Amino acid sequence: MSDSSMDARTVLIVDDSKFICSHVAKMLGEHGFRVDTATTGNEALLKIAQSTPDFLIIDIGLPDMSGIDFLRELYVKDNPYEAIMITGQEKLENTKKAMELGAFGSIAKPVVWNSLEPMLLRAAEFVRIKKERFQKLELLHESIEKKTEELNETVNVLENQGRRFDTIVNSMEEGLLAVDNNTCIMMFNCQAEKIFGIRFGDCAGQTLLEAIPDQTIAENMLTQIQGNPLYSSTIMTILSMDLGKRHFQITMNTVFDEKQISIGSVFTFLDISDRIKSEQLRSSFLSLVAHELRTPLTIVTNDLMAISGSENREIVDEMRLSCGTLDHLVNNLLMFTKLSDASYVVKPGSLDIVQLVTAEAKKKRQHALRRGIHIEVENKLSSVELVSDGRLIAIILDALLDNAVKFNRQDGAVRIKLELSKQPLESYLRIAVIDQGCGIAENLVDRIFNAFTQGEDHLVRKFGGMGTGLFLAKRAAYLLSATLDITDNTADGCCFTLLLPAS
Amino acid sequence: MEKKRVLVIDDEKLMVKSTCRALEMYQFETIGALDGESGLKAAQSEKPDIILLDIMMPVVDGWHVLERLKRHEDTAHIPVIIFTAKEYSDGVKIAREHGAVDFITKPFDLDEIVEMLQSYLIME
Repeated sequence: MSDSSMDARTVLIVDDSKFICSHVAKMLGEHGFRVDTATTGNEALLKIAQSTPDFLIIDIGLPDMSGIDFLRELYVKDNPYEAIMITGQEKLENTKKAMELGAFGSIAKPVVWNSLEPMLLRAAEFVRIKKERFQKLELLHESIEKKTEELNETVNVLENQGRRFDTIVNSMEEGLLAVDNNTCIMMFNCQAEKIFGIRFGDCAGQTLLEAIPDQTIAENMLTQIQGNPLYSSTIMTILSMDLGKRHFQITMNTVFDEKQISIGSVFTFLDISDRIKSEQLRSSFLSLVAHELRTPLTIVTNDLMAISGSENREIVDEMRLSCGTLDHLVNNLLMFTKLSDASYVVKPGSLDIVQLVTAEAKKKRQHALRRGIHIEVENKLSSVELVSDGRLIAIILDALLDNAVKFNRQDGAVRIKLELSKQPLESYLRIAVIDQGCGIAENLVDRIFNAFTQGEDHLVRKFGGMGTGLFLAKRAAYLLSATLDITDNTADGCCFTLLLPAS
Repeated sequence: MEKKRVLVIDDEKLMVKSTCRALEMYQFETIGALDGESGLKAAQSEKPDIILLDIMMPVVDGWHVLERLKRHEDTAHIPVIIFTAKEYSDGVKIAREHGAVDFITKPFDLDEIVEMLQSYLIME
């Protein structure tokens, strides 16, 4: 036999007849097979467990079990070997049964090579195909196991990351709530659960209006999403079962994916109740301080009036001037304390800027005239309506005019110029305060807006003041989202320019 | 010419005294009251032409006094100017919302307050 598929094949002969085992073994051995024998079914099963043969030649009648039962034990269809039955005078149905159980074929006794060889040849091909299939299955199995392991690892990593994310999100002091573009709730953290008194599990997937018990809050959140595509912030009071009545700063940020497409919004709820209370206490304290400082000043000023007879005129005037200075300093100190606080709240309102500038100029005019300094408002506009915080603008003008008068030459002038500049995206109001003083030394320009600085220390002694005016003005400009800068500085005077958004 | 009568209501005795003295130099006749209750009584009995009212007073503060002045038929017509050392962001607006005609912060310039008093007395 020359077929290569038959090379080095192993055969197990299972027959209770030692003669037949020997006879068939010899025949197969002469044709290049490696042969083993077993005389019982159980012995054969043991040998198969140790070393899988390619073929089994099985007597249909074994002493410890029938050939049929033995075949059942073999699971031929599921194993990479083929079984050939040796039959005697058995009934045809046994042979048929054997075939159903996966036997490849049967051969009648006596076993001769001429009848065995063709069957072995055909069986070999089947064995080869089976083996290939089993190998592929094994490889597939290995690959699946490996992929499953990788997948499990990835799942573990994701679960860990998820747990870490949950830990981080739930440890936040702020409440966190995320919605998709349909305002359906996608997540919220423990703090948000406490704030709203609802559990994420009970409202996941519901819209804001459906889930949030306080409809006012829900509507406000919807307004924030609809009102601004990127970011917005508001302050609201929320009455919560767990926390009571608290004030929250509610901030909304739109979330984008890697293609910069909006996928939803995230809200944070920051409890600012303590900050508000602190601000209220602070405000009350400042009011009290203002009252306590100003009351004696008022009394002194009033009483000076009473003793301002002609013989005391000069003394009284000096005292009144000093009271005025003291009052101004008290005001500046109080304002410095207020504006220095990061939580200072800007209060915009509708105002006529021309009227405001004119009024501030009028306030300073008398004082300026004592040194022969004229204050003029150069304005081509009759009125300009703005939405802004008038107090802060007044603080800026007060500081600029104060400086313009203080550092001006005798009999000089202060000009206030107003201009409205309309641009495609934004309009600006430009207010320039120009003096005729000696200018500011270049090396001091950078410090001019710092607190407690008057350019040079000797100027403090010469001109007085705490050096807080320009700092206050700069801070007020910042709070107004405006800019304040020195736009001209020569030996003949300075120009300070305030650029106010004029929407 | 008949002197105009100013009622000064303030819990600070020295404030009332010095303000009255100063206003008298400007030819006003003055009445002083050291708390909200006596201020209300003085307004009803003396019927001043104008009232200067402090806000930060104990027991009955200036806003409550103002409210009661405006409710009483004998005093509702009397113009009230709030004068206070307390910080208000928009004092004039707040004062007018409560029924006062104007607002001035202490310490005030006497010329300024006299000008203010005279402007409201002329309008009356």
